[in-house]
Amino acid sequence: MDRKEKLLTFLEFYSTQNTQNKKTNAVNINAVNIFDEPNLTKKIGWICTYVPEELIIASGFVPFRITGKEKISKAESFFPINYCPFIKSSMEELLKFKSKLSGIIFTNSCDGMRRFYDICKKYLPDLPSFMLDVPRVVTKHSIKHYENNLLLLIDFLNKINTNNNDNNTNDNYYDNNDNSNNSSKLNNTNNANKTSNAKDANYANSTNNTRNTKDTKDINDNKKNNETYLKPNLNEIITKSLNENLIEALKITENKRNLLNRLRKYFISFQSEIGIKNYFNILHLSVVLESYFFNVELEKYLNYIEYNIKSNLQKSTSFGQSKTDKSNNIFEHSILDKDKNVPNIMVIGNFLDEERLWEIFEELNCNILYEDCCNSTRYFKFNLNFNNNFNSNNYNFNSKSNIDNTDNTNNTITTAAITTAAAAATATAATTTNNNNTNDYINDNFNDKTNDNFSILINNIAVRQLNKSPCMRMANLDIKIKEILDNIKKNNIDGVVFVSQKFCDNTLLFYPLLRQELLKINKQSLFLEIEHNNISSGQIKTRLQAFLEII
Amino acid sequence: MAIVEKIKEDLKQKLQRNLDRNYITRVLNIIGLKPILSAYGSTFTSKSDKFLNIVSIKSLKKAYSSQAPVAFGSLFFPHEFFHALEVTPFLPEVMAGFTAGLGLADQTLKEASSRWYTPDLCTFHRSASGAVEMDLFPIPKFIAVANVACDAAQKTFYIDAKKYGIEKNYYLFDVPFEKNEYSISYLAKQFEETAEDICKKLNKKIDLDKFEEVINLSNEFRHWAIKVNEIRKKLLLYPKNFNGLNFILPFHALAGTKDAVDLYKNMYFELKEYLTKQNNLKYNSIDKNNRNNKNNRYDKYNKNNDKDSNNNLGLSSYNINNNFNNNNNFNENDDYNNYDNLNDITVNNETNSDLENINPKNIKKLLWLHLKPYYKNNIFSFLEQNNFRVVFEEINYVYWPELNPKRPFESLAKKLISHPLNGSIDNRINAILNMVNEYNVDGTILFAHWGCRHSNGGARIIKDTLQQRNIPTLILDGDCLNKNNSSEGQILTRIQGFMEILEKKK
Repeated sequence: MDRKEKLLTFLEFYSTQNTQNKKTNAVNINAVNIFDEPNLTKKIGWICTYVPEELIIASGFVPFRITGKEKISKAESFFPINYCPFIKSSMEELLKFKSKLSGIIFTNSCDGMRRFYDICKKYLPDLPSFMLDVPRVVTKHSIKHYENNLLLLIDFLNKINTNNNDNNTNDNYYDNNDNSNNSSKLNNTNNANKTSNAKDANYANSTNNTRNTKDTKDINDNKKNNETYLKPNLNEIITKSLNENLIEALKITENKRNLLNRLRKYFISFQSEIGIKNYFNILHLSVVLESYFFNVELEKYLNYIEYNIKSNLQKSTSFGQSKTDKSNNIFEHSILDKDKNVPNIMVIGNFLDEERLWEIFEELNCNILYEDCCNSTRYFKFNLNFNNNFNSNNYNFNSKSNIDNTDNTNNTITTAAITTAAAAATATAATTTNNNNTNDYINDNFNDKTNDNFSILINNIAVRQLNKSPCMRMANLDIKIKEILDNIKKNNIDGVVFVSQKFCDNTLLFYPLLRQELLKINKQSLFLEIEHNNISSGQIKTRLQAFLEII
Repeated sequence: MAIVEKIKEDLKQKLQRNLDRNYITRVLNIIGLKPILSAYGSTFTSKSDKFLNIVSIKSLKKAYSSQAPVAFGSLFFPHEFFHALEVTPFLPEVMAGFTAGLGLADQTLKEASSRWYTPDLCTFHRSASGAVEMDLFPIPKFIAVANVACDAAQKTFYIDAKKYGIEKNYYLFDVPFEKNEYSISYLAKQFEETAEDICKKLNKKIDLDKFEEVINLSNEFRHWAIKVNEIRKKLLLYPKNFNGLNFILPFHALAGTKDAVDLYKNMYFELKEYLTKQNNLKYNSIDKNNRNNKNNRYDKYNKNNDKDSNNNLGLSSYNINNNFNNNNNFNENDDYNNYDNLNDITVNNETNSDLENINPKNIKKLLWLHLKPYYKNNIFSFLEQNNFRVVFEEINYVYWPELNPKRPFESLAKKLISHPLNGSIDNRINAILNMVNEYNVDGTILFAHWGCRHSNGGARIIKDTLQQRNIPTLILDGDCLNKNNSSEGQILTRIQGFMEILEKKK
C-alpha cells in the first residue's frame, strides 16, 4: 500500500464503523502510524505550539508533534516521581522512536520542559536538540528577541540538512524529482517518492558536535575577554530557496489553520455530527501527519460533513427552501439553539490528548462550546491571521480569519502597525521607551536591507506566535482571563471545566486566579487533575456528572 | 539563657495566635530596639549570627513600617535594582521560610489550600500565597519577578498583584535562556524601561548616582562574600549552629546595601579567627600533611578525561570576563573590631565543642545543594555528630561578575542572566563541579524539595555527572517548609546509609 492509499485509509471517514456496525463520521486514528512511513524519515519533533511549523517545513522537514502516546516505563528513571506525566510519556516516545527523528525542538515553556531538554541532550546525544527561547512578555524588544531565536532555529535546521547532505543524497522531503521550481515543489509533495535518508545518528552527532564546539568556543572567548556570543549571521542563514520555501510553507500552515478553524466551527455548531472524541482525534492527526496531505484529506472530510449536515437539514428544516441568505447558511440551523436543556461548557486545560477523557464528555450530555487547550485552539486559533495574498513583497497581516469572522475585526493592518500594537498590548513592562533615548547595548543589524523580505516574514511569524491564544506560561494572565471571559459571554457558557495534567505549575497556578474571576461573574467551575495516559475515568465521570447536574 | 529561650518561645506562640500584619509590625518595632537587641544578643551564638539577625530585623522592620514603598521580589532577582530606586524589597519566598521557622506554615498552607493551590505545588509559594491572603506581609506597591528557576513565582506573584490591584506594577523580567550579547541587551532594556516606569509612578527621575552608589556597595558585598567563601575552603571549625543556608535573605535581598557589607565583613573576620583556632588545634599538623598529600580527585579526573568541561563559570574567570577596570580597593587589613559597629550587643560566642576534639582528617566534607528544611530539625546536628561537615552550600556561590557602576542596567542584566540556575542544566553542573573542586568535598547532598520541578528535574543528571567523577551524591527527598510532608526518621536513615558509603571510601 503506498502512502497516499494509507492516508486515504485513515481519513476514510465514511467507511468507519462503530460497534453496532453503523457508519459514523469518525476518522480512523489508528490506521497509520506515522513512524512506519518510509517516506517521512525527515521528521523534526516539536512539542509546544510556540514552535512555528513553517520554519520546519521551509527547511525541508516534516514537523511531527511529540504527543506522548507511549506508556511511561523507562522514562520514569529520568525524572522525579512528582513530575509532569506528559513529559515522561514524551521521553518514552523519544526513547522508542529517536532513530526515526532527524531532530527535536523544545521551548523554554516551563521548568519541566527545560529539564526535558537537558535530559534529552544528555541521554539521547545522537538526537539533535534545540531549545527555542520564547519570551513570556510581548513587547517590541521581546518580539525582536524571539525573531533572533527563530533565526537560530533555522540555523539549527540548516545544520542538520548540511550534515545530512554530507552523509547522504537528495533528501529534502519537499524536493521534487522533476527539479521544478521551489514553489511547485511544495505543492507537488504527493508525487514525492523519496528514498530513506541516512540514519540520524551520523548527522546528529555531527550537529551536536558543532553546537558543542561553538559553545566551548564561546566559553573560551569569554575567558579571553572577547565576548563573542551566539549571533546568527543572516546572510549565512538565508538562502534563496529558504526564502521561497518559507512563503510556500506559510501557505500550507495557514491553510491548515483555516481548515481546522472550519472544522471547529462545525464542531461547535453540530457537535453530534463531528463528535467530541473524533474532533480531538482529528486535532491529534493534524500535528502528527504531514501537513500538505492532512490538509487535502481534511478538506475532503469537511466537504463530506458539510454535505451530510445539509442533507440532514433539508430533511428536517426549511434549509435551502427559501432564497434568503439566512436560511441557506447552515450555521443558522445550529443544533445548539434547539436543546436548551443541555449545558454548554468550556474546557480549559493544557495538553489533553486523552481519548478516554473526551469519551466521558461524549457519554454525558453536554456541549463543549469552547476548548482552550494546547492541542486545540492554542495550536490553530490566532488572534492575528495572515491573509492569503502570499508574496514576499506584500505580506501583511489580516486580522480577519477566513473562517471565524466573529472573532476578529475586519481591518487589514500593516506589519509595522501590528508590531506596534503588540508592543502596546502588553501591560507587563513599560513599552514607552523612545528608541532614541535607549542605551544601545548592541548594534542591531537585523534589518539589513538585503534581507528585508525575509526579515518581514520572520517578524510576522514572531508577532503572530506571541499574540496567539496564550498559554498560561505567559506573564500577563489578564489577557488569558479576558479571552476566557469574552468567550464565556459570546458562547453563552454555563460552566467551566478546568482540566490540568498533574504537576503542571503554570496551569495549576492559573486556576486560583481564574476561579476568583469566574465567581465574580457567577460562573461555576470544576477543577480536575489528570495523569497523562493514565486517567482515573470513573472518578472523573462521577465528578463531571455531578458538576453538570449543578449547572 | 533559659529565660531568653522562654521569651523567644513565648513570642513565637504569641505570633501564632495573633496572625496579622499590625501585630508583626509591633513585634518588629519592639525587637528592633537596641536595648531589646542587647538582651536578645546573648542568644546569638556568633557575630555572624548577631549581624544576620540584626540586618534581617532591620530590613523587615523597614518593609513593615511603610517608610518607603515596598516591592515584592523573587529570590534571584538582583535587588540592587530596588535599593537604587529607594524601594524596599521584600521577598515572599524567603519569608515563607520564616513561616516554617516560626511554626506558622501549617496555617499559611491551609489558607492556600482553601484557595485552590493544590498540594502538588511548591510549599514555598503555597505558604507565601497563604500568608499574602492572610494579610501577613506588607502591602507592596510594585512586584518584580525574574523567571529564573521557578515558574511558580511568576504565577503566585501575579495573583498577589491582582489581590493588591497593582497588575500594572507587576514586572516580569523575561530572562533569556542563553547568555549572549543579544540576550544581555534584551534583559538590560527591561531593567532600564522598568526603572523608568517605576520612577514615573513615584514621580521622580532615575538617579544614576544612586545606582552607582548601590552597585559599588554590591561589589563590596561581593568582595567580602568571596573572601568568606575562600576561607571556608579550609575551615572545619565553625561557630556553634553556623549554617550557610541561613544567610539567604542578606545574600539576595540586601546586596547593594551597607548592611550586607557589614555582615559579610564581620563574617569573614570571625571565620578567619576560627581558622586560626583550627590551625592551632593539636591534630592540625597531622591533618596538614594528610591534606597536602591527598590528591584532588576532581583535578585528577580533569587532567585525564575532562579537559573541555571545566569552563569559565568559576569566580576567577568571571573577574577576567569583566569588561571594565574597577579600581576598588576594599580595605582588608583593618582591625576586626572596627567593623563591628554593634559592639555593645554582646554575643554568646560558642564554638562547636565537639569539633575541637576531633582530628580534622576524620571529618568528611559535604556540599549541600538546593535549600534545607526551615522548621526545627536535626539533620545538620546529626551530620556533625557523625563527623560530617557541610563546608559549602550551592546557594552561597558568588556566580556573577563584578558589576560596572557606570552601566547599571547592563550590569544587573549580567548578574541575573549569569545565575547558574538559568538556562541549561550545564550551567548549574559546571558551577557545582567548581564547588566540588574548590571545596574538595567527599560527597554532595541534594535536598529535593517537594514540588521544585526545576531543581529536582535535573537531579538525575547532577547525580550521574558527579558519580562519573567519583563524588557520591544523595538525593534527599523532603520538604523545606511542611514538616508533615517530610519524614525526619526516613531522612536520617538515608543520611546514615549515605554516610556509610562515604566512610567506606576512605
